[in-house]
Amino acid sequence: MSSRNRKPWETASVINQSLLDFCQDNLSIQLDLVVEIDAPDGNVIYASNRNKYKGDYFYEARVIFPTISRTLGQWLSPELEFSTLTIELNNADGRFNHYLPAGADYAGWIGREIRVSLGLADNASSYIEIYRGTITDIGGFTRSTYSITFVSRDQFDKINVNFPNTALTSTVFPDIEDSYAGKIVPIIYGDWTTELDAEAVVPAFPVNGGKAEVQAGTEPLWLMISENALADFITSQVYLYRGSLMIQFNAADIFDVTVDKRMFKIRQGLCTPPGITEVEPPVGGDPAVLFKYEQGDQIFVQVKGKDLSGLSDNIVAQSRDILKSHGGLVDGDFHSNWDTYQSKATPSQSAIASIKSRVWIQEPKPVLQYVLSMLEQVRLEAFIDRTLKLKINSMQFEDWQPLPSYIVHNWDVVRGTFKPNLPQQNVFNRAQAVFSFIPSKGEEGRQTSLYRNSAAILQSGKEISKKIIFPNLYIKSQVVDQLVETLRLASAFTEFISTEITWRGLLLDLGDFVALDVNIGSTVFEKVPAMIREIGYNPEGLRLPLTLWCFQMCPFPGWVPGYSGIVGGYSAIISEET
Amino acid sequence: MTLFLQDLGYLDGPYLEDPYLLSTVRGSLGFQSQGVITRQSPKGWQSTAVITKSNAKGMQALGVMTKPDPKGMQVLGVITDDRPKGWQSTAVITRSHPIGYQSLGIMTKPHATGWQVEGIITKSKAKGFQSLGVITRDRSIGWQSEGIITRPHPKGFQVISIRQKPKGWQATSVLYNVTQLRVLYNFQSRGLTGLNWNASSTYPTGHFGANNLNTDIVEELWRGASGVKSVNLDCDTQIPQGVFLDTFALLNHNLTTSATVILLGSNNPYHSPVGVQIPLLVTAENLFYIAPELPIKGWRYWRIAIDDPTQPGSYLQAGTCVFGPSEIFVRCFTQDVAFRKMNYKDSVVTEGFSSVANDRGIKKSLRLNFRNMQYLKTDYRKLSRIFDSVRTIQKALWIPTPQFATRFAVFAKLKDLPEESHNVISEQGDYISLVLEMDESI
Repeated sequence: MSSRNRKPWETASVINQSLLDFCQDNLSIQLDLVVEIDAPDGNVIYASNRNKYKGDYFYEARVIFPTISRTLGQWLSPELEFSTLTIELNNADGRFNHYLPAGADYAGWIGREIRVSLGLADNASSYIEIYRGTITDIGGFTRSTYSITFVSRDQFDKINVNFPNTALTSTVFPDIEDSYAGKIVPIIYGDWTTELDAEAVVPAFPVNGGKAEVQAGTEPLWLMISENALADFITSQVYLYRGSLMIQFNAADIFDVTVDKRMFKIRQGLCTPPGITEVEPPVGGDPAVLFKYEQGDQIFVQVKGKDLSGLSDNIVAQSRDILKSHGGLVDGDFHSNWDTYQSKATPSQSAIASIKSRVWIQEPKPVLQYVLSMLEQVRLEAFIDRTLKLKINSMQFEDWQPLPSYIVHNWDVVRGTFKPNLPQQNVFNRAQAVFSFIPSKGEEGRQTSLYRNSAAILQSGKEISKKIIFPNLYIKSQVVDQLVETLRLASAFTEFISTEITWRGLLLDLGDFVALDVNIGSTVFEKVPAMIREIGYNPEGLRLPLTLWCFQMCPFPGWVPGYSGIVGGYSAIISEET
Repeated sequence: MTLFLQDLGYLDGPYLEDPYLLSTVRGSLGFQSQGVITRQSPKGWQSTAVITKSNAKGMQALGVMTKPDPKGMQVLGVITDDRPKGWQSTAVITRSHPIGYQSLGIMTKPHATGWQVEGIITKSKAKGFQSLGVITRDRSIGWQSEGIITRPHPKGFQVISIRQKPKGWQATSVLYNVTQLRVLYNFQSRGLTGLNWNASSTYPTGHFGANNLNTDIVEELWRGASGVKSVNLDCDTQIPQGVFLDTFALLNHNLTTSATVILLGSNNPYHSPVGVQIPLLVTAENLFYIAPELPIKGWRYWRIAIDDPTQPGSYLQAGTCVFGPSEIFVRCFTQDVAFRKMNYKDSVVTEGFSSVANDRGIKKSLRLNFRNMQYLKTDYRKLSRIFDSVRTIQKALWIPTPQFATRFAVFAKLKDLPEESHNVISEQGDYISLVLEMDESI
């Protein structure tokens, strides 16, 4: 409740929820947006939509801010949507001409950083950074007769590069066969010694197969397995695939394994000393045919991927390591909840610490996109939070908040903006999982039974089926757990609500839960928990456009609304079709 | 005896329209008049005299008026100079509400030629000729007067003219008042470079330099160091002949009303010696000074000496400082001044039958009506100069009521160049009405 000080923002030094509530009680606040643009000469352009100070620095009224938005994207659609900011800087008086082409300080704008923050009046300590990005290389800088326009993308855009991207080349391996030259060297994580559809499924690539001596069998065959170092290479589990047969090499013929276990050699029958692996047994009086490399031969191995210090099979750990190794992120870019989810051990269906994952990727894909798909398989999402760190949002029922502290009332909702609508995607009541990607096949090798929510099927009158792919998971029971939990959510009746709320919600973030307590027209919500899927900052009035996922008809632990017609949620009965 | 005086005023010829200002009494030195008094209650100076001498010079009179409420000219003269030429008079006027010519003159010049007056008018509601003049010229010829009219609604003789080497009768006077609209747009305080301010204390980091006082953006501040409650702000106007300061404003300051602010002018950069020292009355947020009299001396260096020991904040600060000679209007705008404060905010209406706002601040606007200004006369010409100079793109300091400046003063741009409504009767008889709107928020 408000005190007799009706303008607490004048003396506040930080923005917290208490201050925002206080100001809302008085229906007023003074929040300002400012932008800082790194200029080519090393200076900073300080601008705002009004003449003001933030701390010691004066910001000129030269910009009109657009709405800045962030999103979790669609559930089960692993796309991280980067924020894009287009900002127009007034240059009618030619003030910044020296930064323009032909100007004295022009040095290009691509890659320059733009930072937007929001806070109370001129109190610098109260400012919160809500956007940080870099000017894009395509169309990032344009000018008109009176302004300069910058287009920037979120800083995490820079990590969305393709991986892997190391290729086998004749420069490095002059004796490589043409059929292998240019092939991308795979990245490998996890345990590729168990739960296999064949004796071995991880291919090794000959790098000297074009050499005459190798083809003659008098020199060993040299092979590469992966781009990254491996935790283990089982020398007794190396196989030749020829003529639909898998022929195991004698472990004695496997030698010169590198320290990082990425490369090894196979001794051929005519080498000195000779290899002893028989590709054809002796028949009658004919001796056994010893191994001699032929074009078309495929070699498969059993390995354990990159060593992650006890977390080598952990899908969250693998994801983080991929982002660091191939996306350029550092530890400071990750929110602390990565550790939390990495070590999550209960309940069993969500025990990430126990869920086994493995990665074999050769075809280049965007780093972040691949990581999101990994996390999605254990019902996690990644997003860039308000503190500009990569954070995990959980779609596991037990992590949701049944009694959110932030309650959205009628007086928080901008008039005319409250619009519920039904989701168009990811509504299904029957599903099957396909899992365990097999490199030797190039596709998932296993599948589960069909599972169904009979009550939901009965209510909707039809089966709505979906096949869900879990390429990185390979333990069937764990896959079934994820499938069932996903089906429980997908078969529940949920709504998306787009609305705008007042600046009292300034500290809310993606993935946060709010309690809807509104009565607007015919829509009545009584403290119904809802998850924020999209959030924005509209400078006009400092309104916050939101997209909420409302769980009015989707029970989860602590939220048992008891409405009739509830068929989904965490307690829904999912049965296996036989 | 019946006297007949042609009621011609001071000159029996077109007033100040003779380009060479030839006196109608050619070849004469001094003052001569021939008039016939026909009125029973004559006002102004009346004289009947016949000059019979071919080389008569001047008029001399020695008389003592004993009548109460005399009208006309009263002279009590003591001629101390040899060979006086022209008209000399030393008189002490003891009557209140005298009508006509009053002079208290002390002739200091030898061989005074023509009419010289060094007079002090001490009576209110004087009618007729009033002169408060200081004659600075050695060999003044003819009548010279450099006068300052301080009375509202003066009647009788008023002159505006400037001649370098006048012969005959010429008059120069400057109309100065503290009651009519004044507009300061030529900010001589900004010097030639705009980097002409120094402060004895400046906040050590950030954008708080003393030259921020030179911007039109009042939000862009000079700020003193933390804990310093006594500061000198020095301005070098970079004008060798100095600035004749008749208007001063310090805007968006945080001084308390108990602060002591003194404005010092000097032609020495170290203010030693001080030429003029003006204590200022501090009002909240915006501080104005209107010179009570026309400044007759300009100073190049100006200092604002601030002492605010009771300042509750950590530092002293101010947004904009402007000073210089302003355009002073003769006639007023109409009585109705439209003044407004606007609260700028971003407001959203909610579903809870309320609205919430993000406050952006308060700005002022002003509207003044001008009626029947005569074309090519003073006020309209001044407005034209202002329009051509600041247009709608630059701010000016508008003070409608200098005597209580804080009430309506705005530091603002013109909203538009106004539409002029001309009532054209003749080339000279063109009367213009217009409405000016000034807004601090644009």
